[in-house]
Amino acid sequence: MRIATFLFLLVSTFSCAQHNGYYGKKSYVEVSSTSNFPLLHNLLFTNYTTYKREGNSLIEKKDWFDTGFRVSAGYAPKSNLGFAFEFGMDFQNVPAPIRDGAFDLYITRHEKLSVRTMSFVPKLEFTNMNGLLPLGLNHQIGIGYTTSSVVDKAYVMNVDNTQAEVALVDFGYSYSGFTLLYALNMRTPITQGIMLNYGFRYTFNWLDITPTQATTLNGFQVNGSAVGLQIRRRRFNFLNFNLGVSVPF
Amino acid sequence: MLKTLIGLATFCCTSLVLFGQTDFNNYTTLLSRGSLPRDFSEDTYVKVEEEIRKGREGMSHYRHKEFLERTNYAIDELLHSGYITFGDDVSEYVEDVADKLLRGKRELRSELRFYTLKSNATNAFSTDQGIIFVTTGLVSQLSNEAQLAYILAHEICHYTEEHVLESFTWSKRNDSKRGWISKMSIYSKEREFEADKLALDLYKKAGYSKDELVSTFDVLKYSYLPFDEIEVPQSYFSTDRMYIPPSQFPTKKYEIKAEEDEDDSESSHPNIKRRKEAVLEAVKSISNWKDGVFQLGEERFQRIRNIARFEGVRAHILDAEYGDAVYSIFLLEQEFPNSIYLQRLKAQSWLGLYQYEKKHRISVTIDKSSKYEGESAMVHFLIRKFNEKSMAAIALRQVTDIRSAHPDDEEINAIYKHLIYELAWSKRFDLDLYAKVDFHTAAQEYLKTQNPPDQDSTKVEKPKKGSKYDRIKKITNADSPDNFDTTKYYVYAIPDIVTDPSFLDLFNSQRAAYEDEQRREKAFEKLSVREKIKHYKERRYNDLHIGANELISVEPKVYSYNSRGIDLVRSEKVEQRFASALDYAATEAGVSLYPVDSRSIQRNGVQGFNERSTLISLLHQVANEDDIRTFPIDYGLLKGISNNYGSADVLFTMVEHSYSPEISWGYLLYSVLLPPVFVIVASIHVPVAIIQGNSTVMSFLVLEPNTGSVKVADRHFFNEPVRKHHLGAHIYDILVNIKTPE
Repeated sequence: MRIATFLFLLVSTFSCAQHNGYYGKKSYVEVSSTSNFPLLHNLLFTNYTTYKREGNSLIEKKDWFDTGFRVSAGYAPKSNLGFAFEFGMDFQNVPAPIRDGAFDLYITRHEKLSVRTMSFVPKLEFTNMNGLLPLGLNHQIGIGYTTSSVVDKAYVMNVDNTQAEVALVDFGYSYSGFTLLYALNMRTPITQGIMLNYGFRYTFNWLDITPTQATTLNGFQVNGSAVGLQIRRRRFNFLNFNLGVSVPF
Repeated sequence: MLKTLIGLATFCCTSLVLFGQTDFNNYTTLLSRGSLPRDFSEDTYVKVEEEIRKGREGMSHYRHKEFLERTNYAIDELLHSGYITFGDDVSEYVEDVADKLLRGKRELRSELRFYTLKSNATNAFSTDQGIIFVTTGLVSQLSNEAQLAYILAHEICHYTEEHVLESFTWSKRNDSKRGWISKMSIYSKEREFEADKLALDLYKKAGYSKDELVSTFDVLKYSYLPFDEIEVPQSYFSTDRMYIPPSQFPTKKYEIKAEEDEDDSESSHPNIKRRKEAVLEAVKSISNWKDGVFQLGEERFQRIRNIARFEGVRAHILDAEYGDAVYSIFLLEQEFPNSIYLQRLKAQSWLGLYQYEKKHRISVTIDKSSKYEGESAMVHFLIRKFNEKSMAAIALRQVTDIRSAHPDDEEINAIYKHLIYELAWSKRFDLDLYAKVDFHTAAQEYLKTQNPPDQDSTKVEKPKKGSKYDRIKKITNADSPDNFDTTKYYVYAIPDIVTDPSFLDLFNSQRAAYEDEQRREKAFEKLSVREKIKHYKERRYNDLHIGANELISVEPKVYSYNSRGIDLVRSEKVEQRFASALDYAATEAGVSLYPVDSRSIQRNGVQGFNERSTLISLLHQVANEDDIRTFPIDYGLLKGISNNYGSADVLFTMVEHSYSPEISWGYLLYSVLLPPVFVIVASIHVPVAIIQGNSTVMSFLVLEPNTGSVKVADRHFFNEPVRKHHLGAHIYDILVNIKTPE
């Protein structure tokens, strides 16, 4: 009963006045880029070497910067409470786990694997009592579905110290997962019709990496779980920064 | 002969036009006249930048900028405070005296500007910019023109000797040194002695008499007292209509304790005695004095002084100093018994006294007993004796009598209705307490019962017939002679009022509204939590929705803070952004907004300036005591403004902003020592603090100008910067809500 009363009071503290949005506009679409510095991944998970293609050879080089983008659409029925739906895409690279039996023992070096992750996250936005969504500082929470897959393209690898290019054919497996999101975001108008939005996103990402079928790779074997583990580790990126543009209407 | 007569007539007419006549019976507060001086129309930061470009010898750029910002922003705050007038009768008079002093010094004269400050402080001061302010309080205390001339000469010398800049430079050099305050006090006193001495030259050359120098210091010595010392007869308060027994009045006179030789060790000014001695010593070495006292005419001086005294009453009421107001009105009534303006202010004073007594805050409006001095002490003593019941009676008596004498005056009628509202909305005011007979009739009836006709003393008096309840009713009946009590004299003060049908109609309708409100509040207490919240939300919703689609927007104010305090330059610049956001949002919301601010007065000139001053005075009155609905001091002017803008309500807005991310240095220190903590601090604490660093509070107030009542008062707090459309969106939200009817 007390909890019910508290929750009722919490909701009812939200605005008493008529909600007029941002000059009467309560809906918005938003496009932002996200970026993060995978410090944890690069510092903690060092059992595999990340190789980058340079010309026709491979050099050791870690990625210190991951990016992505988000597209959202939202509506604020109250001045300090809103709902949104976000579609996102993250672009990351993971080291190929060539010693885990994922790849044939003959491969000595392999170019990093490009991973693309799509996310679908319904969100709740809220702000303080005098907030005026979609404008200004707002908190966002959400839980959504993600699907990660390795990009099909020609990767460079060394086989017994000789170089060969191999197309990763039909890796064929998408890793499903979920993401928990909390974001602290600011939308600040740059003109009457466009807002700049920026802020920090804190995410917890989890991937399902149950063993997959080994897939032929032009004669080489691949262990999907090992690849999945690399993706899961890479997606353990707690803090992201986002910057974009919002258009209210 | 004819030519002489025509010339004389022309001169008289010109004099009338130039020097004017003041209708003290229908007095209106001082208003500015003429074209708007540059001091009022230019932005402060523009003035500062212009002075910085000119540079100042012997001062670093940084120090010069600091000095200019401090002084210019402080002076401009005063210029736009609503208390300053230019081109008015008092300012013109002061300028004419200055012309006498500075004859032959054309360049210096062209640098100086003279403005009037409507304040009861007895003061004049000059600024580094060449502005000399003279208060109406000072002018009201003067005995003659020569005294004003000497004071002006003193201030002009402060300007020519650059004392303001010297003091600033000195304080910067000596700040935080040991004994700074006492050294500053000595330094400041030396400047005062210097100005006193140098002023003698200007004063003497203008042809004024040296005999008036000492009396000028007397003005300063007694300036804390009212402008005159006349005994108030008891009959001023205790009249045929309202008897107040002698026991309520003081039995002794309160002596005036002003001292010439008080301790000035911590003061910025030398004491009066030392100043007098220094001036008299300096006078010895000056010869060929003339004996001018009234070079501009005694009549004109007296008219100007009376204007200042009328302003003094207004200033007392603005500051809720009702005791002083009542005494000052008494003094002025000796010369202006027919002044309806004074009667209006008297009615306002008694209304104010009742309002404060009702809130048990009467001590704010009168002097403490330890401060009783001179003839005015009687008024403060008497007021302090009143309790709420007696104050209600005397206030109602006074206001009703004023209304009877001026039944067609709209303002007095409005005050009368306001008082009835205050009485009806007080549960402690019981009309049945007051008798329907006056004091003398009641006393006579009482005496009759004490001295019945001759009777046989051998006969035993039988108890009177009647029930217990008859006897109780007798005890509680104010009219009964058995209840006659001289200590409750106020019970008999308003017999005609409590039987007046028109009064009873007004009172009873207000009392019914009050009782309805009480019933609603009791019913509210009985609601469940859920119902209370719903009721609260509805009430808050209705509080904002007043159906106002026209508003007069007065001087939107911004205070932008940095780590050192108010950033004056940024505040001014953000104000321009705020004003622009207001205009934009009003257009979007479909609300007609009539700006009355620094920007609009540049377009509208002196009319806009006067309107703004009047509206700011209204705000000051309302802000004085937020739970007392004071009657607007400039009722007539406000009505004019309201009609001018189509009966619009008045909107006051203010924004306060600071950017200060709350980053804990302790966390940062721990994070360096404990790397895992660093991850949390770097990824959570610091980014959140940076984004949430903006703190903006927007306050807005909508007043009804005719009554001074607050229609809407609200504050919005948000963590956003003060960009145009941030502000604009919030203002739009507020205006749309205000525009929506209840």
